Amino acid sequence: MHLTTEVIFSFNFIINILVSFMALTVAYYSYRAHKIAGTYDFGYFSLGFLSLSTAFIVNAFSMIIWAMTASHIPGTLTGYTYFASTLLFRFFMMLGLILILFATKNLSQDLKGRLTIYLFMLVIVLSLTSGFLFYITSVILLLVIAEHYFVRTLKKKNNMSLYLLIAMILLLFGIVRFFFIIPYFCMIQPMLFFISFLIVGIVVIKSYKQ
Amino acid sequence: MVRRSKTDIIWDMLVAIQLAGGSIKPTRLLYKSNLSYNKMKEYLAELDESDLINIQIKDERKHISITDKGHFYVSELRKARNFARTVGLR
Repeated sequence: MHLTTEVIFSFNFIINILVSFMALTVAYYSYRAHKIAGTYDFGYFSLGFLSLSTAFIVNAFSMIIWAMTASHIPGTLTGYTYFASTLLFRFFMMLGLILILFATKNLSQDLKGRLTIYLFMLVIVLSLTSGFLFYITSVILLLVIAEHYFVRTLKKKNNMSLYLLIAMILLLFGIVRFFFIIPYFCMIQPMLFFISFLIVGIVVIKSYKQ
Repeated sequence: MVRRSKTDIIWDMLVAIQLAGGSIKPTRLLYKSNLSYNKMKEYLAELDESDLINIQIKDERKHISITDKGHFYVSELRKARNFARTVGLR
């Protein structure tokens, strides 16, 4: 099959919508847990996945604009739309990852934790303007989250933690977008996101239904 | 030793009542939930107010029983705790 830009963008649109839906499912279950247990960590986790869901929705709709531009449909404000969607995608992605990090790591307890938060906030603001910094920060955040699940896998000998570790590593590979700019590889990135969020979704639903 | 959160204490109390067959005497609950008398009184008043437990007096003795809402709360809290353990939340 010949891969046209329209096909790639349409495929990316569908996958981004599915990823967003799965992130929303995780956010819903975390919110349910937050409502019943009243713990802030569940709230952070829920807001984190809600933010990731928003990021993928933004990404999905920017794909429509790209597809329309590729099809030469007049009246699309590609330049501004691209800038706005990139900014929003980066913002929600960063916010999501940092909230998940707050929920999983015990960062907000002491002064050291607070300083780390300020540092992360600074990097988030900076990474909105620089694409390279955004990818580097995302990779670091995901590495820290993945390390959390790696330690849990070793300590608890828990299969669920291992699945979450795999999911975070897949997300990490997906985030490193500059590896996937060759047309055929453009479809690998959303697939990595899809598999990653599918694993997280299944693990969360399974743990909740136990 | 890790300090128990309010939710942990409520969980311990409700599970103790469930394990005792749905109804328990205050002294047994005091022992099972590992609380001081005053603290337990506070928690019992709160749980009674939210209809999670029912405090009855039979033969001049207090009996604490778990309500349907209490059973539902325990099952939801169990799910939340499972979820927390799986995703590595505190």
